[in-house]
Amino acid sequence: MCLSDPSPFPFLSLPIELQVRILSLFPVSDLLPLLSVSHGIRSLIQSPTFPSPPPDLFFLLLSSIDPPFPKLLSYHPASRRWFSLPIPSHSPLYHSRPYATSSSLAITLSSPAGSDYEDEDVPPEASFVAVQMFSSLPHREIPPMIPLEYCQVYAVIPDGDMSLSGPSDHFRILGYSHFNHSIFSQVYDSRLGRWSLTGKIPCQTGVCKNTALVNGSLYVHAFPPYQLLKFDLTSYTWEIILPMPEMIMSTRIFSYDQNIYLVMGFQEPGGIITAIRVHILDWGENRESREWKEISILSGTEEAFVGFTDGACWLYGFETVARNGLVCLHSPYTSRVLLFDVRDRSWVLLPRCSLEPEYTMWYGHATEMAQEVLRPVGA
Amino acid sequence: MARSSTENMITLMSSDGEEFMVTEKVARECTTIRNMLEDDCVITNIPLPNVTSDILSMVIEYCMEHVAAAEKAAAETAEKGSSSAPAAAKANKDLEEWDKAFMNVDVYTLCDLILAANYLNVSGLLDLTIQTAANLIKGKSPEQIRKTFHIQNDLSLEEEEKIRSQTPWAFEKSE
Repeated sequence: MCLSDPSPFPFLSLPIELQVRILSLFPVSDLLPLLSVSHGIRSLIQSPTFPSPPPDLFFLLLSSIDPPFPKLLSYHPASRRWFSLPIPSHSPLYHSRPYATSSSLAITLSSPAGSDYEDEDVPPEASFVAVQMFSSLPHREIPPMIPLEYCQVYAVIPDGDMSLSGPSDHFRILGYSHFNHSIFSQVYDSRLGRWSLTGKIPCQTGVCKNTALVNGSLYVHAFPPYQLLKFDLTSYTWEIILPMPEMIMSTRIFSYDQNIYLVMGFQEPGGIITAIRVHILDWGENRESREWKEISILSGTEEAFVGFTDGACWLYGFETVARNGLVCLHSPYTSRVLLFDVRDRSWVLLPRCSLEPEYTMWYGHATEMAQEVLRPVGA
Repeated sequence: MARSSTENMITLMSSDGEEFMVTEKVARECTTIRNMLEDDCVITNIPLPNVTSDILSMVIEYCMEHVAAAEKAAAETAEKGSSSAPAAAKANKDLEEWDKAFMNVDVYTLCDLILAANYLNVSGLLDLTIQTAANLIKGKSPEQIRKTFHIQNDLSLEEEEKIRSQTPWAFEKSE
């Protein structure tokens, strides 16, 4: 059998383009060890013409409670392993949590002074930086938002995530303010290098729980009242889509395969969660009769739920991060992590992590290790 | 598989002079040959100086199996009016199993198959062989990869240590 054949595979006898084709099947975390195989392999992988590797998803789940953040406790679904990923001390992320992340880009404060937590309003006059996570690329400065009351950052949207044609390292950031019973949005476009006011929508209080990108629009889970809003990234217009289901806690929206999903705790009287549910947004015929439809439920009697709650069979809440059809749910009470896969609707309780036991603060972002991580330091 | 009497036959000649007679449909699985046939529609004898008879017979075996699978699927669709999803899924799975068994070869044959699939431009076979070669490295440490690929370590200890120290977690992953 080939895979157990003890003879060496004559890799170097293949033409360079075929060597590259074999290596291009590997995600970044598999390519990194290959950098130390030989000078030849290293040059191939670090060549500017080396194709973009397949996505390599890491869930960045927990950090130290206070800055600095020298490491992040992370779960790598492809290898089903936990890693303690180091953040270089020169990275702005060493001092500040990100306000928003995308596939590999993070937006954080340029100065560690001021806020260090994403739920807080952006300090007045604060400027930002865009950081390619875990790469040695220099970060990009972003000017302060247009000064309005209670500014916040919703999301960062790289051109690549919008499936725009052609390679581009440009991105947009959606920020907002809430006052006079309305949400006022503003967009930073890296092509223009400035923020622009982009529209408003009436809303009682403008708290954003999280966002999801689908078909060129950013969906925003806002509350109260709990509702799903849509911000069209072409016309820069807002729309109210529908209310969220009732009696829910620890909700989070996420996108996969151009659909919007909602993961939530189902709340019993008394404020405890006895089941976790996942819904999909069904647009109905002619996109008029839209409603949430349940696609999966993890009830309190199921083994994964019992393990998640350390046998209690109920919990007060959990934290969630999702990307590429995978959802990580973390219980702050038991430090257990559940993984839901929207593709086969499976629930798996992850093994406990023995790394960095003092890391208990929810970080709650996901990243795809990008090709830039392979570039030599200082390049 | 029954062969239509009207089907054109093509003779492929390997680098060591062996002749293989195949249907035009099977030959057309190789894009390189398809292009030759489209440039010169009366051509019936094609020399392939870069492919030995051992490897050419394997490439033909792969192409015949995939043509037969496609014909079977088309016939079932024509008979029933539409393709049945479970039947199509089973046929795909059977073909995947066949591919897997077909890749039960030694590493030198695998290397020759990659070169032949690339030269003849058989995209399915190239994808299959490239993936099989990639599986040889998956999860291996740099030292194991050097052994598997017969690559000399020309990095100094300092260079190797510097690379490891930049992403130590990635090396834990392969150990």
